[in-house]
Amino acid sequence: MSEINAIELTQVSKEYPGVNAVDNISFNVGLGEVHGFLGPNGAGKSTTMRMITGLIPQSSGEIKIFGKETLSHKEVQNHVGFLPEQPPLYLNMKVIDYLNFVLELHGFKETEYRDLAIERCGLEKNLGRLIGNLSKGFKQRVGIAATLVHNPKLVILDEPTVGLDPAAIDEIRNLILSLKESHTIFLSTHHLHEVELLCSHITVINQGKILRSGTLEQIKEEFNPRQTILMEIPNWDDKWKSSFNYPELVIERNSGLVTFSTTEKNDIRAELCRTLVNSGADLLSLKKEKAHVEDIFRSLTEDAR
Amino acid sequence: MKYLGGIWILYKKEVKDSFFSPMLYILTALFCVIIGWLFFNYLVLSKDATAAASLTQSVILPIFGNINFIFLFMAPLLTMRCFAEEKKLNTLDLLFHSRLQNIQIILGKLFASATSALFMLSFTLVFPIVLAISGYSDWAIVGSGYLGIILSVLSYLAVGIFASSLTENQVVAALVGFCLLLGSMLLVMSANASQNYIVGQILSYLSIPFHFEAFVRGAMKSYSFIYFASFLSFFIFLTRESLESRNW
Repeated sequence: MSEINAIELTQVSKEYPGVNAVDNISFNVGLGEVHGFLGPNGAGKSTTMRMITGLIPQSSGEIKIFGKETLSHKEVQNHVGFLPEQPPLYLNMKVIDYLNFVLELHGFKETEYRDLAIERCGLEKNLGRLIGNLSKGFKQRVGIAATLVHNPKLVILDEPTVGLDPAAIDEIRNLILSLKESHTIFLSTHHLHEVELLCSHITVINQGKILRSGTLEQIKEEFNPRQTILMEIPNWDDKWKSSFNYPELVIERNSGLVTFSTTEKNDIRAELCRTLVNSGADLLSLKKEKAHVEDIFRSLTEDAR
Repeated sequence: MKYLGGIWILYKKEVKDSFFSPMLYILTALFCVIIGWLFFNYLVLSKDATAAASLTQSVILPIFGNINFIFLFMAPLLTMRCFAEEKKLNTLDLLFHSRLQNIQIILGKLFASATSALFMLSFTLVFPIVLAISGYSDWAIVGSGYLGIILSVLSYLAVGIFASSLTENQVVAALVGFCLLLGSMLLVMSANASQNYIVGQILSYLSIPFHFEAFVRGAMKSYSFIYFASFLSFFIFLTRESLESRNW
């Protein structure tokens, strides 16, 4: 029996008159993943998310949520919590009334998970306040709490930190990290640093097409096949170069900083460290440089232009 | 029961929203002032009426006609925020992502708007009480008049809700609703102006006032019930199509 994914898209397209918003995309989000969905504005992220949640139908292709087709299995909605880019909040309602209303809309009466969502989102002290009077960060928390009141297995968040101040971004980020244990999370964001902190997997979309999908590590490796080691050696001597026999080795020196770059697959740090120290180098620091999501994102989206 | 339960969830919220908003009370006050002043005038004028003219002719019939006419303006104002506000706040996604079907959402909003309209209408019950004090006793006419008003207002609200589903601007929603209702009223004038008897009859049948007037006269025709049921169903269907248009 094949493994069931939380989300499974197979050759999904969405056409509007004259526009192909999403073009034949396929990717999976596995159970328990925190999956980042990246792409520039207008790439098709929100359209894809809305198709996954069943808010709009796809023009062609198949979308499965926990192995079931979204549109033919309305009950699958019970397992999905969706927070759109603009949280759907009734500004004239009190926080607790709103959460109860959402709970009722999903056909649930038990308040256990509602209380848990309130606690997780830190809303205990604001339950009696009107949503319209809350700060943007708290409104976003209410939106997230509303997606959690019926304890969905899959949580879809469309740019959950957009427009928030740094402190609020940190709070929301920690909240998402706390959900990691019990939910599959599929989130779109423009904060690429956030992806590094939160996501185990990413999918990059541009102009309605999937550019890459996979684990963050795989994609990073694909984009930076060379391993680069940065070292601080004040007494560097060029004669030590001959001690190393790595494929396509490039050594650059800039005052006390030395950069080793090679296509060697195995981690060379331990060996490098030993050899240098034995050669008499004053090795003050050593750091492996990693490819940043930001570079990958730029590279992918620029290539696609 | 589950189907009605879905309607009830939204109905409760909508009624609460209406009764906690000043809009309903402003409209009710305006309605009471206008209709109260008209009732007073009809009552004063009825003193000068000939002995043959009963209170039904001089007060009841015109006052019901006026209530119906005022609701032509009030109904779009009562319903303008129904879907326009949801669209603006993006909360429609919340409803679409819930277990509720589109028809349940529309009916919840229609019944809630009808509750607001009945609240406004309830203040006119003082008129029959005043008439009763002066010896009026033709309660069948009053009953059928109120039934006509309720069916007529329900139809107006259905049109208003449809107009609200077309836009996220409440003012535009109210204007579109009003124009549609005015169009329905103009059918009567077209019917009167028509040279062709059959065309005239068809246009009359299609207009709300033709059926409403029959109720006010105490003539509850079965085809009028069919007309109102069809009218309501048609606009509920149009609203559903308008909501589904997001899938087009």
